[in-house]
Amino acid sequence: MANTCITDGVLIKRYVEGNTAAFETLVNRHKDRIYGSVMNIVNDSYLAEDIFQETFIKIIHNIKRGKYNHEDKFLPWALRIARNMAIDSLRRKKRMPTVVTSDGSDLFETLYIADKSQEDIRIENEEHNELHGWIRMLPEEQKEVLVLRSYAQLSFKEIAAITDTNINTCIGRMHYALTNLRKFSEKNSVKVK
Amino acid sequence: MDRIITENDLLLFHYKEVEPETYYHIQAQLPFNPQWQEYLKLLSDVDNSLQKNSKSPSKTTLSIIMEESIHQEDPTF
Repeated sequence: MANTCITDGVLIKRYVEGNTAAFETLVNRHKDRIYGSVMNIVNDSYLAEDIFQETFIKIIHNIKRGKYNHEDKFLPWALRIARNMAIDSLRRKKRMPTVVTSDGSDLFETLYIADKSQEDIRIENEEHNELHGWIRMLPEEQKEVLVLRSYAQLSFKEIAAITDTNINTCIGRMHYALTNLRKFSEKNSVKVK
Repeated sequence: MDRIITENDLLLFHYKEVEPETYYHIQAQLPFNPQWQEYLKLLSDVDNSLQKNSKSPSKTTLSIIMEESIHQEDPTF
């Protein structure tokens, strides 16, 4: 409980001084928001795990090299690293050829599904409601702002800094994302629950 | 007060990033405006949907990170 009173900046300072428990507290404090944001952007749990791990390894290297100078703005900084890695991965993924089965579906996707139990699939279907499915279908730039604002709870100013844009662009993208979600909802003749 | 409230204003209102004057204006008019209510409900639904689908990284990934954090404490690094 007491750890919640210690700022990110202090935890990083303590970690630099040799206190690894301080770093563990920092990881535990932000892991879900960082992992969840990456997961919501890339829609692939294996890829999200890799990006999350690489993000924190980069964070460790940067802190130890004295490159961290963001005081208590750790989360936006970490999300910037994670976001850039996610975007790079998506670009690489797009360039990779897909192996398709006779029915035209992605072989690796099929293998992944076959690897899951019926219970896993049932839970996943319940969790991924219609709205979440539509969020996944949004253009990347719109989805990114939506996830960073709605899920990661960054301000539009912080998102603008992370995405190298300006506040109005971010607000515009979020607005288009919501317009698209409404269109998806109307097209499917179902009110968003 | 006679002013035009845009959906962008509502967006900023929802995330409490709007100017105080606009915030109180929207708050006062909201009960009488179903369109605003619908827009704000969509925003809440999006927030809830993303939160509900929230997941955590695996324990293995976290242990790799923690091992790396200890390993990097080598003073010659």
